[in-house]
This record gives sequence, structure tokens and C-alpha cells, in this order.
Amino acid sequence: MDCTICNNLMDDYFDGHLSHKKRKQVTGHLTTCQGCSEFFRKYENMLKSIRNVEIKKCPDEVVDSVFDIINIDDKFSRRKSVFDRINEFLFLYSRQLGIAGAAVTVFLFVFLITSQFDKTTHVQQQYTTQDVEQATDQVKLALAYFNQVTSRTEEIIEKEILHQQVVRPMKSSIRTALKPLINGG
Amino acid sequence: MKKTKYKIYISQYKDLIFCQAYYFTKCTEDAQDITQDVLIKLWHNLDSVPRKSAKAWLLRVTKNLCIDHSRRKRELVASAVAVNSDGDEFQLELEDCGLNPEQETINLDSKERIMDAIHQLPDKIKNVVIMREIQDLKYDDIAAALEMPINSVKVYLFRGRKLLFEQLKPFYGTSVFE
Amino acid sequence: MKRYIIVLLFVLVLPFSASAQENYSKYQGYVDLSDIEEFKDSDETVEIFITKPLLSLVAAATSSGEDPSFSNLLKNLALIRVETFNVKEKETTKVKKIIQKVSKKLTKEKWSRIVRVKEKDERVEIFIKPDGEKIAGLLIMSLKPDKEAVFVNIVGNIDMEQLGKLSRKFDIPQLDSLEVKKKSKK
Repeated sequence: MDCTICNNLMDDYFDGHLSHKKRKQVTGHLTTCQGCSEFFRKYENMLKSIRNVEIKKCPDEVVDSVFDIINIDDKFSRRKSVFDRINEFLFLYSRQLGIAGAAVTVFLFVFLITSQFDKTTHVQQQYTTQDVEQATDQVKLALAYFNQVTSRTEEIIEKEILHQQVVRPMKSSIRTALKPLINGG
Repeated sequence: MKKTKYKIYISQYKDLIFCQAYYFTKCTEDAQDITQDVLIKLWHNLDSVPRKSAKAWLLRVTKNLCIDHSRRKRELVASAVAVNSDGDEFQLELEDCGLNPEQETINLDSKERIMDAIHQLPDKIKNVVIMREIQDLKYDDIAAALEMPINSVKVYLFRGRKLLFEQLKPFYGTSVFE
Repeated sequence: MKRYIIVLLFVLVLPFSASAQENYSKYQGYVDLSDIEEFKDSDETVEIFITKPLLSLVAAATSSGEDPSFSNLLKNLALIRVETFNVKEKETTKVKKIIQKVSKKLTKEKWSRIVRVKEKDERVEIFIKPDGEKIAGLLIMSLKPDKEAVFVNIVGNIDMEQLGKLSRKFDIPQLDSLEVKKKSKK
């Protein structure tokens, strides 16, 4: 890249409108060319100084005098009431509010329709005879698992009852019967 | 509703109008007059100004009034020649925009130098430079306001920057460039 | 324009997705078993998830069969869910902790525990959710270390007597041949 091309790209460079590739080429040239680098620096400083000048505000009295001329019975400089703010909001965002309102209406309408729709009938149409047969078998399997667990539980409970009411007393009786033999023998 | 709409436009754009007029004319009083005229025009044309393009419309009217103002001033300068009793022509001193000798000295200050440099730009270029560099408006907005293609906006802007650079170059290294 | 079309399409699709998936947590008798998700990748698993619409169809299909009590039981149910998986020895503690966690949660939510069995590392817990005079939910949790864990959740208006009677008719070995041991959610 030469100095002429680099200088021609200067404004786009400072505006951020160069492609990544071109920007890289310019910065590459600036690192090697002192003249262009100095020029760019001065130019950039000038732009910064211009951009830093004060944004002038319009005095309220100017607007008040306009209101007087066109006979609006109000002072622009007075504080906005809540009503003014609401009006302003509605005016500024009327388009967005309109779109949001339309979207909400459509949503509610469609939601009402789908919730009213007979799901069972709709769902019935989804299932084939095979699905129903398979589901029947699955229900039976579920009941079988239920049976398995409850049976196992009954087993454990019965075992415990047996242990408590038969085995333990029997053990105790045998011990009592054998005690004299053990002590005496 | 018309009043509400009008007040909203004023809230949104009065500073934009005033700032444009101020940097174009370099005079507070003139900027106030121009702003007033723009706002009165807005009231009378409120129903015909579409909301989407209100900003561009206002900037365009401001630009036109600024140019009219500048033309009027040049004409006044040209015609401000009086003839005295001896038949000699002499230049009438026009009322300046509130500047006094003290302020003349202050003109050497950085911001005033920049304002002077901007003020001396040709009208078309001046408008673009103020809108872009001071008001930070987008190219689309400037193009819509000045009714020209975006490329033309860029051409005027880049030309304006170069002219400003030439004007302000002597002050590089001083407080002008901070 | 394109943006508005996309927004409009999005708005139209939303209600369908909102109403399409039934939220079972609204049922009192439903139990959240998300803690056992990690075991669903084990070698042998059984997942059964039969929802109300299909249960109604099964009830209708079996109403004229041998045992009308089968149909009667099903038509009042909202959900039958079964999750079983193999449990390796090193996973026993984890599964026990899950059973403990679920038990605590159900106790807080006013479920009644009707069975609790602890034998060595074996665990069985059975909970019911009363709803006035009815039973709105049943949960069975069973763990046989180094063998299998079984979780059964039945939701709806449950007739326990009918359930008990009917279940005795079904044995898992009997059903092996029916090839029902596959993952399915309907």
C-alpha cells in the first residue's frame, strides 16, 4: 500500500467503514511510514476536537415565545404532568403498542381455540390399533410390577411375623428347656 | 392531539434545530430566530409532516432558513454602503452578533477557532459537517434531510474535513487541538 | 416486513406448544422422578408412560373383555408410569439416597406411607396420596441390591381393591414373551 492510497482511505478509516483486511493494510502502512502516521495523528486530533464542541441547547424561552405567537395557552418550560407523560408515551410508541396489541390478540385467540379443541378426539386419531394393543400389554406389565413388589413385601412381612411369633418363642423355649442340662451338666 | 404531537416534536427536536442553526450562523440570536421560524412552520404543516420523516423535514427546513439567512446577510453587507454629503461612499457598520472587543480576543481560543473554521465552509459542506461531526447524525438521516444521495453526503463531508484541516493546521500543537 | 412475519409466526406457534404438552405436575398424585434419569442408560431398563387419552382407549377396548374390572380401573386413571433399571452394587447407596429423598418429599406433601421395608440393603416403600375418600396417587419404590430398582407411579382416581385383585393376575415372567420391555412414552 502506498501513501496516496492510504490517504484516500483515511476518512473511511476514521469512520470505521473499512473492511478488516483494508484496515489491517492501513495500520500496517502507518507503522512503517512516519509521514502518513503523523498526518493521521493530526487529522484524528482535529476530528476529535470538532466532535467535542458543545451541543447547544435551545432555551425554553424560544419555545414559549413560539407558543405565544401561535396562541397555545401553555408554557413549554412548565413541568410535565403524568397525563402529558402518558400521552407522550402513547404517541411515541403507538406503532410498537399496536403491534404488541395485535400479537397479544392473535395469541389469545389461537390459545382459546386450541384449549377448546377436543384433545381426546384429536389424540384418538393419532393412535392406531397396534398402539392400543401395545399400551394394554404395558398396563399389564405395570400391574405385574405392582404385584411383584407387593408380593415381595408380603413375603418379608410374613417372614418377620413368623420370626416374631413362631421362631423366636420356639428358640426361647428350647433355651429354657436346655438350661438345666447346660448348668447341671 | 395536535398540541400533544407538536409538543412531542418540539421536545425531541428543538435542540437539534437550534444547534444546527447556531453553528451555521455562529450567532445565538440568529439561531433563536431561525429556530422560532422553523417551529412556527412546523405548527402550520403539522398534519402533512409524516412521523417517520419529521426529523428530516425539520432539518431540511432549518437548512433552508439558514441558507436564506446567510444570503440575506451577504446582501446586507453588499448594500451596506452609504453615501455621505460629499458624495463619497463609505461602508456602514453592521450590527454584529453581540461580539465585543473582549470576545474578539477570546476568538483565539480553541472552540472559537473551530467554530470560525466551520463557519467559513461553503454552505452545502457546512451543513453536512455540522450534522455529522457535531450532531453525530447518521448518513441516512443527513441524506434524507438534505435530499441527496449518501455518496454525495460522504463527498461533501470528506471535502469539509480536508478544508477544516487546512484551516486548522497552523494551530496544531496549540490548545486548538486538545 | 420480514421481521413482522417472523414475530407473527412465533406468536401463532406459541399457543400450540403451550397447550400441546400436558403438565402432569398439576395432578396431586404425580411424583417427580427426575432423580433417576441418570440410571436410564443402564443395560436393562423398562420405561412405561401411559397417559390419560391412551388409558381411555385401552379401557374402551377392554370393556367387553373377560374382566370388566380391568376397564373400570383404567378409565379413572390419568397416568401409569413404570421405571425399572439394573442396579450394580456400587450404585446401591445412590439409589437408597434417592428413595430417602423422595420419601421425605412425599411426607412433607402429606402423602401417607403404608409400607416400609428394610431388610439388609433391600428397600420397599409404598405411598398413597389421599384425596378425601379417594386415592389420587400411588407410588412404589423398590430396591434389590445388585439386581433391580422399580418405581411405579399411578395417578388418578385409584380403586386400591381392584388394583390389588387385578395385579395378582399378572406375573412378569408371563409377560416376557410379550416383548413389552422397550422404552416408550405415549
